[in-house]
Amino acid sequence: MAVRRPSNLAVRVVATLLSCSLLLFGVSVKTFVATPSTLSFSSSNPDSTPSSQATLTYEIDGGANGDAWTLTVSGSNSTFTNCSFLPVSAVRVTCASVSITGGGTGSCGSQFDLSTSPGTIASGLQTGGSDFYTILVNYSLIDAWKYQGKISPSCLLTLNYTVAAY
Amino acid sequence: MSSYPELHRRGILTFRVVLAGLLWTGFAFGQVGLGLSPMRLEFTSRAGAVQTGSLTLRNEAEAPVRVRTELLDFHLDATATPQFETSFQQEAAYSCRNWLSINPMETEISPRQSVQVRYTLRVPAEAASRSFHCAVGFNSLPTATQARESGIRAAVRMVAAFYVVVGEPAIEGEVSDVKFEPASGSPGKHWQAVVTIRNWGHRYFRPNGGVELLDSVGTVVGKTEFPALPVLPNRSQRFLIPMEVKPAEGKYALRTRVTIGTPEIQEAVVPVVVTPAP
Repeated sequence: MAVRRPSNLAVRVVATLLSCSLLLFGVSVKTFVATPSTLSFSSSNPDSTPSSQATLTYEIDGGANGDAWTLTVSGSNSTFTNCSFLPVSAVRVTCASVSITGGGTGSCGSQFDLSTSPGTIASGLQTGGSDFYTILVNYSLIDAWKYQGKISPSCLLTLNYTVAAY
Repeated sequence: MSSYPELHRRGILTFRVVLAGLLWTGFAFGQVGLGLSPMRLEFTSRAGAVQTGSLTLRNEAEAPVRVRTELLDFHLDATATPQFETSFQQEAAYSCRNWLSINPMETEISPRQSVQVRYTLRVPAEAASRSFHCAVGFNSLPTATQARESGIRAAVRMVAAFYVVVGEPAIEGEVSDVKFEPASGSPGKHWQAVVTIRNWGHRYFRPNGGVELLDSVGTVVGKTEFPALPVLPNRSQRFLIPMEVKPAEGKYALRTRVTIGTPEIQEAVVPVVVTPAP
């Protein structure tokens, strides 16, 4: 039995296991739903911080107990369509709550400014059964004074949500 | 020419941003129901072998959805969040992306229907004995009609992660660092263990175990299970483990017990001093 001791941390072996194996996992995600389909910010006062809330619901089924899940979001481009002066980093993403039925755990990630790299909205662990998640996410437009106003056409952005159980 | 404040004062300025969410504008109540099964596949294989199978994509919505497939590399960042891209140069030595083929690469799924997406994984004859990882992403696209309607786009990506162990590479790793610190954004309110596990081998593994916070007399005052996340080959991986404990000031010990797939349990104990939040 191999015993390894790292140079800067005392690690000791306290038990011996019989075996380990690799498995094919049948974990799946069902019925990913977001409401509303379109989030709108509209403000005539750049001193305000316009925000909208999205509700994301989904079910993860068939995972193993303790397996991780994560929900991330990214912008499809670095700036808004029709508004190249407006970076997607002007959108602050804040997870308001994670509620779960059927088991599993989950917690909100820290707030972050949107980018083309995925940021974590929430993450958690599965139970091995069917876990239902409801996640409230706030999107707010920050530092509005930095950007010129525009009426038409509207600034558009595609949000890419990624669900992964890895 | 009017300045921005002038425009604002004159009440003629409206700042309007529309974010397209997940879904198509034509969907009832703006909902989509895209599902994927399985989301994770782990194989043992050998050089030159071919592995085939299928994934199931299901559209639970009342409108059709078009899905485009992409082959991806991935890794876990410093917060253990998976990052998926079409290519990560640093993952090239451990990527199975180029071994995968998918059929169909693009399809439209009718409402309340499923489609089978077949995958073929061809392990090269010269593949080294190690583990490889890659992913398949399924991205929703607007149908032709929906794309014409408003220009508002929506996207959701479902990802299936593939892990392929070629040959019999050894699992080689250890707990290399353990810390106890306030969780980001909430100093003094929420605490987390930060456990770093080093994988110096060529095979991924999934640590299993837990962390415990012990007071000065050895009583467990908080404990959390270790997440079953992968430590990919040849790197150190940090895991942020939230702990449901609000310790008072004082001296503690943080004990970590982890198995990594070898016939042993590793235990590390580090002293912890909790001080008032700044």
